[in-house]
Amino acid sequence: GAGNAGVGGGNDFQWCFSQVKGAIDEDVAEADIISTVEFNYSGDLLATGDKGGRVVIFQREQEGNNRSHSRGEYNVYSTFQSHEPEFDYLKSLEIEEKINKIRWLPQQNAAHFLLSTNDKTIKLWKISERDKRAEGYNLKDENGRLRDPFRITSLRVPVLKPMDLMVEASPRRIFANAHTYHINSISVNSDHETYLSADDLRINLWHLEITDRSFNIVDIKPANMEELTEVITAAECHPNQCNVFVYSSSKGTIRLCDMRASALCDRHSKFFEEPEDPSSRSFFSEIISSISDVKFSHSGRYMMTRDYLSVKVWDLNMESRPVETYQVHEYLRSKLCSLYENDCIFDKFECCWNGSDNAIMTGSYNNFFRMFDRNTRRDITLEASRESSKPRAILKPRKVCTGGKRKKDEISVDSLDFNKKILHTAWHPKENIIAVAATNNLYIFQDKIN
Amino acid sequence: MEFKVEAHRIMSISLGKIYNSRVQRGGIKLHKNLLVSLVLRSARQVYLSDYYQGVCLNAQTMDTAQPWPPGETMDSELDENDSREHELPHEVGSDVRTSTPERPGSPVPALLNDAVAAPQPVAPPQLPSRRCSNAAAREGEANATRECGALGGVESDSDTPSNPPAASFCRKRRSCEKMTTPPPESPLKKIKQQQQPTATTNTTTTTTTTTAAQELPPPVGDGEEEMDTSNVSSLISIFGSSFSGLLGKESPASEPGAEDSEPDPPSGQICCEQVLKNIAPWSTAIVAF
Repeated sequence: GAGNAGVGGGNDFQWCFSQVKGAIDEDVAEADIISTVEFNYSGDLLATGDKGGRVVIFQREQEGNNRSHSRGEYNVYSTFQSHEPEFDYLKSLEIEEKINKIRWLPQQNAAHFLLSTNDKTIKLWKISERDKRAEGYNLKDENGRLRDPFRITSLRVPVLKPMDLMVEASPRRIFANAHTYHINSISVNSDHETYLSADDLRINLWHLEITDRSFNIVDIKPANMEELTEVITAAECHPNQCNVFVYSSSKGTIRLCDMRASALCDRHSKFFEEPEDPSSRSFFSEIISSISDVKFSHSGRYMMTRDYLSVKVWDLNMESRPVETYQVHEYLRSKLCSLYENDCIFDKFECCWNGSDNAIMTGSYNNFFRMFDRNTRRDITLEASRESSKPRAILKPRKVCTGGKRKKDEISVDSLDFNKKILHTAWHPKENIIAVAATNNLYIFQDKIN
Repeated sequence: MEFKVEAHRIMSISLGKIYNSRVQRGGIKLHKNLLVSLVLRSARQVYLSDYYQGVCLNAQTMDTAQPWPPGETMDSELDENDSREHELPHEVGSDVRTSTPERPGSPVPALLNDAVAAPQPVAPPQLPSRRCSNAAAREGEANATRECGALGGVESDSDTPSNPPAASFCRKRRSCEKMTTPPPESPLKKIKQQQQPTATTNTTTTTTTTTAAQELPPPVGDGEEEMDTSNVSSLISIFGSSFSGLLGKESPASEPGAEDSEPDPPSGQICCEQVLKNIAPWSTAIVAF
């Protein structure tokens, strides 16, 4: 039958199960729910953040022991508690420890750096390896206790001895107190010196070395909060123009700003908006047009936005409408009222590009995720499930039946499990390896070339 | 008719979400509340447009217990409002044709009586809805909300209109009446105008409020609890104001007291918009947040 061929790669391309991380337990602890997934620039490291404020980093094994059909596996490299719950006594507000976003910094030395953020505070973490330790100190013994100086009768030079690899994570910078509203995005600038952080109403620009101040570059808070009509939903720096960034809004618009134009980028350089189709108007039109994620292509020529039902690819040179629109789960359009009632309509799906920008991926419900090939216009629906988790098992394409007779292997819309949502996905920057977060499990799939 | 029922249901659900957002961990989510307000506004528009098309549904009584838990100023607000309610001018009273007021002594005129009015002049109302609008404008917030709260709670009165315009008139009046009852508006109004609550002489209302408070289902837990329709007007007045800018989008130029000169789309909508624009307490909370 039809394999999942052709999407994301050549015609012989197929996606296979590689690994799954996380507990199998049916009872999922809320703290274990994965809230962000991100590969680093080389793809050797894969970071996840969860609702409990923890960060888990997986590292890809070197392909020393070569099994031709399986690339290096990802194994736990480091785990640390990034954020703790806090309480703002002044406002009587609890600040959740949930990690909203993780962004890696480009690697500059042996250590790895990443930014992780919750609703209010961004932290720069240094992850470094220690595989040697010094022995033979003069002033302290092996246990670290200080030796009595009077007992030291000779001097020796400490020597480095190998030890079991230890990966340490330490917070190097804490960027706090700059956001009144909930942080939804962080993005590292291509200058590798600055980064931006965005909350519902403001975007701030930071220098990675300076924690006690940031520059506010966008502020859409109205003088009178009663006049609020839209909020910022996502923001990203351009991948190679360090003066350019974009931010999306709850109204389905994207603004591109140039930091050279003025210090405060309230006035955009470009404004991207697709005119609304009046025939599809409903109570929920505004909600489903809210953009939940915006991502530049690696080339920097395009950007992609995700709203509730679709993914759109925009050419930065054309503001009037997207160049491509892909329906993720159009069959939900008639269910919007129910999805509003159970809050699913507020789910914020992310989207991602593959390394060569010819394929895009985003998540859906029932642990389904969708991929679209921009060249062939083929699309595919796959499922992250324990059932299809045999090593190197080829993933079978899934199909949702929208009405009428349900074919074998199809699933009807009403049978979809809306508690199993795939909000976070990531694509390796160079290879066909994808990481898909399904609640508390992280699935890794890779290609199998026939 | 279906649209109206659906709209009402959606409004109830929306208000429930706004209410529950107060107790969510991590604080109020501005984005989500904004989106819910949008839905609320759309549903209200549909509800009102249906309303003014003469669609009749049996009214659900609005004077059942107040759904709101006793807020800091809630009871006292209510009290003051009630006391004001009784200072009714008679002009509107004569217009009341309906015979089944839900709450004796709380006809629409209460809205006109602006003890704590915003400083707008009272324009002679041309239509019942206009009157309500003016009331809203003058009162500034809760009362109009009260009216708009009718959106939530007022299905329609039980009278079958024999004369469509009159029926509309009555219906609108009735909705205003109904909305006069719930306490929440007065608290809002009170907060906005920074007045101190005064003791009430209306023991009935107070009792009702207390009862209502006790009957309110706990906000935590199942976030999707269906709210009583009687809660709707209270909730909408308390929470619906937060993003009145959304409403302002519809009639950006309208100011309190200015709607007399406007053409006549669903006037209740104007009422709501005016009122919601002027209600500050929730936005104050948002600002503080």
